[in-house]
Amino acid sequence: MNQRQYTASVQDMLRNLENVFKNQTGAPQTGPYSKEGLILRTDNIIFRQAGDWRGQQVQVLSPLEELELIDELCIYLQEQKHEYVRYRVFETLFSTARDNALEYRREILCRLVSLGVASKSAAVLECAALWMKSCEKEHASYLASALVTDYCTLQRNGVAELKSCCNVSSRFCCVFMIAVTSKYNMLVKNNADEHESEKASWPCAALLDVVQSWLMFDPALCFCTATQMDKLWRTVLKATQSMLDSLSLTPLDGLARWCVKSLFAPTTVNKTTSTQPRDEQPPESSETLHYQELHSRLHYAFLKALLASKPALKAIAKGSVLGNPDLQLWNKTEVHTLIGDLMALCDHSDLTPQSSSSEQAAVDRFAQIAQIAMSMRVLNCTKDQFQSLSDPLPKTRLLELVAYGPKRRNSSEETPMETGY
Amino acid sequence: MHASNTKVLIDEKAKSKQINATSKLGAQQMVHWFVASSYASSSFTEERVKNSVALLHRVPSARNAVLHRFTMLYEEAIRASLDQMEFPTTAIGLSSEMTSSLELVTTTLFDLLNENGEAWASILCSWSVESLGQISSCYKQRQVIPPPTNLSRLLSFWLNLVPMRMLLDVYRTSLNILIQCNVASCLDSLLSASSNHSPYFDWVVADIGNAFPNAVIERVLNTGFSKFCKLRWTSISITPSSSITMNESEQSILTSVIRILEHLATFHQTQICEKMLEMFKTPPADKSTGQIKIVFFLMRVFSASIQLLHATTNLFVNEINATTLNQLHKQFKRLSKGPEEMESLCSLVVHLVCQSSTGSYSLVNLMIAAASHDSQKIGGLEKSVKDIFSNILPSILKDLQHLALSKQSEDKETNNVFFELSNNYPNLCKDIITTSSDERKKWLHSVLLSVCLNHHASHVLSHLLIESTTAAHLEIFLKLFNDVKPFVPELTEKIVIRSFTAIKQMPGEKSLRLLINLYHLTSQTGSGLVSDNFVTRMTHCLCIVLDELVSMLGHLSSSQQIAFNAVQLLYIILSSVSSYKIKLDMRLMPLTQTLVFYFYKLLHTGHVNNDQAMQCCQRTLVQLSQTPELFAVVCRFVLEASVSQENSILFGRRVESNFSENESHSSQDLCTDHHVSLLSMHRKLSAQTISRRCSSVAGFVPISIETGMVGSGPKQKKKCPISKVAQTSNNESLSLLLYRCCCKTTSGTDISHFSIPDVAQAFDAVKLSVLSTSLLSAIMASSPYLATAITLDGEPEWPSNQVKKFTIERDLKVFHFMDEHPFAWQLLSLVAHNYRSLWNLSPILRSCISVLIFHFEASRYNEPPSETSLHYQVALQVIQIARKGQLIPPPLCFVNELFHIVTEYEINVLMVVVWNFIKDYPPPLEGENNEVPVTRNFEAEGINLQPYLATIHTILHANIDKLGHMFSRFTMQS
Repeated sequence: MNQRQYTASVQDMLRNLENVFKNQTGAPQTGPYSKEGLILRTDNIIFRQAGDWRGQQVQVLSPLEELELIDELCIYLQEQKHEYVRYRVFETLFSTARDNALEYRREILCRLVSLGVASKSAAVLECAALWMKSCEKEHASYLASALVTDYCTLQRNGVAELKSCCNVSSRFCCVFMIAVTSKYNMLVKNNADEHESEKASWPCAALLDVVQSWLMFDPALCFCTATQMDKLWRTVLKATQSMLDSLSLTPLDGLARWCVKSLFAPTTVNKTTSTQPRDEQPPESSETLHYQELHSRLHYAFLKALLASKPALKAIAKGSVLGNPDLQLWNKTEVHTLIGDLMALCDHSDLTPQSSSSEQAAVDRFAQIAQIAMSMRVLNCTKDQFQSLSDPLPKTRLLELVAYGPKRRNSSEETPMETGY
Repeated sequence: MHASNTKVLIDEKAKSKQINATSKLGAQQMVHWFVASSYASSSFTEERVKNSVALLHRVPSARNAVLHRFTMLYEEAIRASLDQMEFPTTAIGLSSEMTSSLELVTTTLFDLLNENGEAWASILCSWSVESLGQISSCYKQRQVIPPPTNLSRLLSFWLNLVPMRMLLDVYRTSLNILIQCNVASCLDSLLSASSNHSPYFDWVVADIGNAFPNAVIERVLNTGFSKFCKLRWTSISITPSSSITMNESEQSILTSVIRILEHLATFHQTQICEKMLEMFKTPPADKSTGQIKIVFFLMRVFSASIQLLHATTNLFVNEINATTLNQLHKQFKRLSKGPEEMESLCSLVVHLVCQSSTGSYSLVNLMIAAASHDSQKIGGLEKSVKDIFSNILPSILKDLQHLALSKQSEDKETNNVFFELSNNYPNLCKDIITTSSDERKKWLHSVLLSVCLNHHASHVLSHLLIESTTAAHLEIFLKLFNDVKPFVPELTEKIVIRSFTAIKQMPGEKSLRLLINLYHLTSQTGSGLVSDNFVTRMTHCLCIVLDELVSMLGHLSSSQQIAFNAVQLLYIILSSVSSYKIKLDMRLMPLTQTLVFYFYKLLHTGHVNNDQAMQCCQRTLVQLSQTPELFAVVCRFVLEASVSQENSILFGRRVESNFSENESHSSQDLCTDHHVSLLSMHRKLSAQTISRRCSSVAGFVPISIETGMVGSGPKQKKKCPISKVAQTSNNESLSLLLYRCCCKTTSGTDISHFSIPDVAQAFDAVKLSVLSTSLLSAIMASSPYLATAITLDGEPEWPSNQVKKFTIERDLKVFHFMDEHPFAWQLLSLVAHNYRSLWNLSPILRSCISVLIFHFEASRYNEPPSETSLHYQVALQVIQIARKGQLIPPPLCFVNELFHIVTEYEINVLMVVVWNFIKDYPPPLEGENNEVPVTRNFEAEGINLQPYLATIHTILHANIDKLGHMFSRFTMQS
């Protein structure tokens, strides 16, 4: 099959799909030879995955055809100006609700989004963001890790490519952050011999670099899923809200975890990042930064991001986010889990950690985050509740200050908030 | 020079600009370009390749497509190279553009690996190995490429092809990185490529294996094992993990693992074996079932690869002990899903054992030991484990037997399970003989049976036959024999021949065992395991080795036991096989000679007539001399031997005393002997004589003359070195032997309980006449004097009484001979049953009578002779024989009754009467019809006895006081 034929058939197919959704907006079709039939043909023609038995996942698209396909899809999505139709076509192609050739389609999706990143295609990234937000966590983190592999480990200039994405689609960046923070949860596995999995739960330096640079660039990035909730998103997310295992609304919880726990990063992660040969081009200063430096930058950026949470809280309060005005951006359960993780990481032997140890630094960071979060009302929690929550943690001066406050300043609780402004 | 340098620099700049120019394009545009160029007609221009490289750097999602493109570039380059090889005149080979493109691509890939090896290695590794596979199988049809069977040529061919070499280098480098980073899955791609593109891909496997033998072996085994575990012990409901693709099955995994290992085995066999052993010894983390899983895996590997099985059998057998087995069994119980699994495991074990080669003996031995609870080899085994072995073992043995049968017709292979088993058959035989456990015996029996069916029947059975020492052992032999017999033609012959060939190299007791066992086998009949047919067959087979038996019997170094058993066997053969079958006509001489030699050996060693050995020997000789012709031979040998130098002393021949036992003594004291005074000796002797005789003969002084060389002492008296008792016994043995030979009914009787009546009817007349001639010729042969003496006047007719003066010397010799060979009297008495035969021997009687006449004529004692004196005894015997042989008729033949009463001179007179009668009335010659009457009818011959009786009557008258009562005896009843 030459280029034209396959491209033409893909184009043809896309046009058909488009028509279906366009018409559906007007008069929803009910005939049997409509959407379902079309979807089946989609799998056949676009992905060449005939039938629906699972055992037969033979790749029949050549690598070149795959490339043509994602190229064609990229062009189509960019050209499709109707946002709803664009997403419906995208969703139809890569739906995780359909079992047929799921893994292969997901693979193509990864390539497509990767190409979207490379070509700065807002349309592709927006669709991907909504797709990630609306499907199960597993698929979202698969896509995220594929992108991390492509741009953070394999490609030479990949970090720069990703960094510049926040100019293209902030919502994509936000959802990507949610996905990576949930994937790299920094949990320490008990069986130390599983070297691989330990490494896998910690983000690589390049990824940290990307995230911190995004947050530095736009602290409000964290909340753009809440603040930029438009009609399409609301519709789609409402439909999939009932799904149990989806990504959270904002990356706040995950980022807080990263900030606090990064100090305990295993040496293997540190080492590999520091020894990675990057001597060829050092155009950006962050490239040469060490893991812990990246983390303190991230911590700083996160604190800034917390301070920028007001619009999001307003939007929630207005009820424009999923119609739930009581939505918690960072709830107590998540804080509790974080404290538990922190305790697991800390050495239990001494309750007052030595100064400049990673335990103290971690507790201090937690105290800072908690203080700002509470003062910004991101974390809705009374003093007493926080005291009981943080009680098991090793005590540091800062945590004591945050939890109990200095006696003389007891009257003016609002002081930290004012420092934020 | 300088100018050109700058030009190069400018070119470089231009190039880098160009690259930069493309890289400044948008990602999508680059993709468009790339797609378009891929479909373009002449695909690989340098610019396009550069663009591809740029795309690879820029757009990660285009990675697969670009790499695919690179594969095609390599493929194209290889095609060009192959074309040039095949058609050197027309094809141009690699263009410079193609070369530089290739270099660009290869350097790009190497740059990626150098810069960020950890990330790229796995991608490039799987890509390059798949490309290698594709290209290898893509050009499989090309004629220049060596066939995949010739791996070394194929390998060197591809390695000399530059593009292929480049690709392989990429693969090697990335694999090296992966191995250094300790990535467990680094060989998965090699495995799958190997299963997809074999056998055209094998050269890659071989090359990689040689480059990283340890790593490859370890990974291949580990990867294979983990996949095997997952497929086998992960329940289907769980979605298969990502490391296993859907189309992988246990079999395909094993196949690819084995294919790689077998390639490696040519050069790295020991490493593979060690690695496998290490896997076995250090089971994976899963403590509860880890080891049994390994065992399952390894067994499957072995079942698919005979080569590996053969290489490792010994290693593993050494590792297995009771503790291991117990532990494995525990783990198996934990893992097992049901009896089907056990069954399949068992059949796998059976298969493996049947396929094994080196080490098969120790393997089988181990299994038997385990099944029979042999505490020495493998102690402390749990009962359940033992039961498993007991269950497996019968099917193994059955399969082995089937295998042996199916391979029976084929040529001997050196590389199958029987090779080592067969080599170890002596050990197996030893085991089966020594073991006390019935169970074990049964299994060993089956193993031996299969070894037998595999060309080694005669070896095994003969070994058993030689090694057996008890009846129980022989039972083992017979059982095995009965089982093997239907499958092996002419088994008995083979066993017998093999046994007799084998014992030549063995110590004497083995020969003895063999003979004893053979005797047992052939002599017992009607017992449960031995069919009559077997015995006859065995006996017939023994004919083949008759010569060996004879030589064993005749060999000087053979022990008496051996000889005894050999004779027993000979007897069995002779008594049950027809002489035609034995080819007796050819073998008679050596056979008889040996038997006779043995007979005299027995006599020399002091055997008496009642000894078992002696009886057996006699029985055999009797058996041999069934017909007169055969008897003639036997008789001749026996008698000739009896008069020979060394044997005749057995019967009383006197020899110089330096042959006697005091030879050493006399030789020591030779000097003292020299000084013995003859005179004093003489005086001493004559004094003795006088004191003895003077009482009866007054006034007579006998003169005894001692002869001898003056100065060398007295003449030594000749003396027989054998004691009197022994002499008697020897004589008796010899004569009894001949008596028995001459009997009419001799076959099939136990001669020890068979008494021979001394009547003519009991003996075969023809044999008697044969005996007579033989005896005569033996006597003639005994010394030159006798030879001439008897043949000088060989006429049977007796001369007149006066003529005997001329023959006195000869007569004395004969007399002397008869004295030294008392058995001759017995034989004469035997022959006397047939008077015609006795007549043949009449010269002997004649000489004896002649000597007696001379002796008694010269005697001057007026009293009867001493009853112990030699001449008196001989006289009695002569008369008795003459009577028995009907040379003299009744009244005349009673003269011997007078001998102890009348004086010696009167005896002389009587003897002369007898002489005259025999001279006057010799027995009649054959009648017209050649028929010889059994008894001589003196009356019919019309003999007038009166003149002879007159002389007797005179003597009776002279001694009427003493002989009065005898008178009536000597009157003719008319």
